[in-house]
Amino acid sequence: MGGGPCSAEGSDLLLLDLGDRYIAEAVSEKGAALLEDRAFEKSDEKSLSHAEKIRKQAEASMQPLAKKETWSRNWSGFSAIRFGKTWQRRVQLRDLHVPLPDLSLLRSLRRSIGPGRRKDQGLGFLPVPSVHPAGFGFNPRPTVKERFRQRIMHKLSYLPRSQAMTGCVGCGRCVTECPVNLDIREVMVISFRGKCTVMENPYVPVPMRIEEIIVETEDENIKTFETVFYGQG
Amino acid sequence: MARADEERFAYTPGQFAELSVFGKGEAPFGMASTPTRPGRLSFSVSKIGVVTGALHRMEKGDVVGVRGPFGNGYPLQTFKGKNLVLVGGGFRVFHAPVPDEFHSPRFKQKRVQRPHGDLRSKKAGMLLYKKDLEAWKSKGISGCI
Repeated sequence: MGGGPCSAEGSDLLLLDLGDRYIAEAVSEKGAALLEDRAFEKSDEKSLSHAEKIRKQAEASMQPLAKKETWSRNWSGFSAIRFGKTWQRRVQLRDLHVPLPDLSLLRSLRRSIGPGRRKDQGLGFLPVPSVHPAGFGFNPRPTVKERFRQRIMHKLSYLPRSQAMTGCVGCGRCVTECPVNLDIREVMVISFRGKCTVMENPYVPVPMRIEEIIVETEDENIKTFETVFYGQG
Repeated sequence: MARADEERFAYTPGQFAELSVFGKGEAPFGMASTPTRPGRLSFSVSKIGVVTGALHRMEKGDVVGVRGPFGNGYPLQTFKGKNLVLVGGGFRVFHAPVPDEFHSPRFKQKRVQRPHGDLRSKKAGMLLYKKDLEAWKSKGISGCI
């Protein structure tokens, strides 16, 4: 997002932890006024050099995956062919992919049909069978692939282009709280590289050989399959 | 290749994987095996649909595809030093990995105390892992069936 562990953007006062004490840097006039308080002492050369060393170490430990200003350009090259591989990383849990009505598309659809006809036809004029009558919409992104693409492009390509800002604030909660354990940063790395292989992508199916089949119930409706990675055993 | 796949497929109890049958599709299943035995994955499958039906028709030596692991798993670190009560639905709750994990040497060092499980099934024939249940009893895990 362009920030960093020692980024002072938007701050009045920047505190840097030196271990046994803090070093404070005034960024604005308000911050400078705060520094005149008796709680602060003037820093010496040794502390300043130590702070600079810590600052460099912290910034070196957090290298960005992609530069903010290049996101829009890079994502515009996120081709459909490449999506064909990356979207498979998504778990196909149906509940997580409830199609939502896209009202802008619905409006354009109405205009193309004409106001007089839609009254008689009701929902029947919608051309897509997977209609959600309760939401009064139709699903313009019927498969996981289109929805996966939209969620990434919306935040990282469409918004930067239309609003000159990304939809991502860099909080990282989408990674830590993702119910399907999808790390969008990995997707970005794979996409920017322009290649996606089995070795790089753990979510492409790997072959496993069935080693043993255990019948768990008398009616044989539940079985336990013992498998090993193909090439072992 | 197999070793690289094995190392990459590091999972914790509670996670699941997508199991695929070529030409039929894929479906999510929880791992019924323990992470303490790397290289081997077990899946308990109930025959209810296309993918599970195809799985049930497979024989020893056949090949399936596995993607994952997915999900976040149980927060094992927070179990340290606590008595555990396992409550849940579905037969996956009492899969072998959880008790096995509790009794692994690594986990014993964390001093997890006496896990309890309430083991019930809708029908007598639906109770799974009977051998495991007996083994759990011998290890001191209490439960009622």
